Amino acid sequence: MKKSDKLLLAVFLVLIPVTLFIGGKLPGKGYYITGIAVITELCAPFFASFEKSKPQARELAVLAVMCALAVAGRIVIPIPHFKAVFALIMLTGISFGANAGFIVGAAAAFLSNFFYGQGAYMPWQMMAYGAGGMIAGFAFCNFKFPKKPWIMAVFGFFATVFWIGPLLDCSHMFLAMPEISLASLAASLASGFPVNISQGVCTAITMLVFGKPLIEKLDRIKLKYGISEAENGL
Amino acid sequence: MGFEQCHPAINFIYFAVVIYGAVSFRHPIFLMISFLCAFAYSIKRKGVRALLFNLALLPLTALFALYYCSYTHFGITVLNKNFIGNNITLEALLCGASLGISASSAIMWLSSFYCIITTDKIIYLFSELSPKAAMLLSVLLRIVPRIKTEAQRISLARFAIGRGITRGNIILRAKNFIGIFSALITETLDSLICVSESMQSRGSTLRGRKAFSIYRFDNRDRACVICMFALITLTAMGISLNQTDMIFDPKIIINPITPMSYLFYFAYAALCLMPLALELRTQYRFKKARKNVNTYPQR
Repeated sequence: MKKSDKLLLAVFLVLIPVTLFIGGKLPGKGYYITGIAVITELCAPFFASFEKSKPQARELAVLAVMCALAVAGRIVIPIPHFKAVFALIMLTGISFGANAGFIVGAAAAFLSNFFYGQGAYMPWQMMAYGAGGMIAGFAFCNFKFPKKPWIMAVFGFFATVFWIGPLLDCSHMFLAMPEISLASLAASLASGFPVNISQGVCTAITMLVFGKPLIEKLDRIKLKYGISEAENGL
Repeated sequence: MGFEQCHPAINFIYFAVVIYGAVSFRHPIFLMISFLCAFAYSIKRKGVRALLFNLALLPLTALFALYYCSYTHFGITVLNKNFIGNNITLEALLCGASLGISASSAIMWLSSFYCIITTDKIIYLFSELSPKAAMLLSVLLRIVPRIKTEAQRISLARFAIGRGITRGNIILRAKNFIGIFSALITETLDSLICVSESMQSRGSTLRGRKAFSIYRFDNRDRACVICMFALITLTAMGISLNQTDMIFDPKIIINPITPMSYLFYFAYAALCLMPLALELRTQYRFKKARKNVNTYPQR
């Protein structure tokens, strides 16, 4: 495992939960501060992954386009709880690795919330969306899952239903429930389950339809501009 | 002198203040002042097109008020009951109307904002802060028009080989659309990388770099700043005395109108009319000066 991946896991498992816990106690619009803190913490492993050189403009440009696509995938589809955003975040992770997936997921959650309304749940969403991109990056880049559409679709479905969805539902327990207990956790998870299923179905469909062409495009860009030539890159 | 010839910082501060006022004030007189001034100024800048656009905003405002009062039911003055049995109240209707008016005046201000604050001004202002931010902004500001023209070119080329989005039945059209969209994504990725690479190679991100600028802060700008900030201060006094606010829930409450209130109305109206007055005065002086010029010297 690379050094930057270890750093990413450390940030995800330790630093971000602590930030969310402390940030949940801030009054008023304190969630903006929490959100910015989460983004800042995430940037640390991302910039550490370019061990010697600073990130070039081209890497950031590719990530910006993927982020714009993910935001569009959430806004353009008019059906509630049936959004392509998770699939696009995961595709970024699949083709550029866990760090890039996390950054794009967090940024997509933050930006798309300007269309849906910001709230106290915003830092949680950033964490959960980013975690989706991260797990896809670990599975397909570090553990070398084959990048076939149906494998990506099955992976996307299970990752949405059993990973991103529960992470999002936990925020409900911490923010809205009067007490934090096993029963309230079960209630939040149960009430979120149908929503997670429908999101997972949309993710799988998007992976089946758009997975292959998008991966091809991104691989072409990587080859053409040498974005991941050394193993320490994106 | 048009308002666009003032220093960019003045334009920027002016629009920030005026749009803040349009969005946050709830008092009917302040709302009407902002709405009418935005209406007049956008017509002065953009002519008949702005007039048509602004007139189209009016029915939308009315529709929004109806929509708003159909799903919020606070207030004590009940006008009617809808088919589920919820109250339709006067307060909710007026609250919706005021939200609609403030949104449409903000849109009109924004349309004159885009007319006056051009991209070079934004880049000039931000390059003072940081050259990297200015480069990122200039790439981002160009990206939407760039994608638009590229989409037109791609769809024209696809149309020429018989794969336009106007050909065939609905399934074929969807397929053709996806083809165009896919080409557009590839092109955007490629061109964005090229643009940022080339801008970096030419030193756009170097420390201490400044953007091209033809702006200087002269005496006219100083006069503008003094007037503008005097009027802003008076309006801010109105805000701190709760003269700009209005409460809708549960009952409509406005602070009493005193002689001082007229001062605040006057200050806000003068602030909103400032660019329009500046431009009309210039036009008038120009015409007057022209009368004295003998275009054909008589012998």
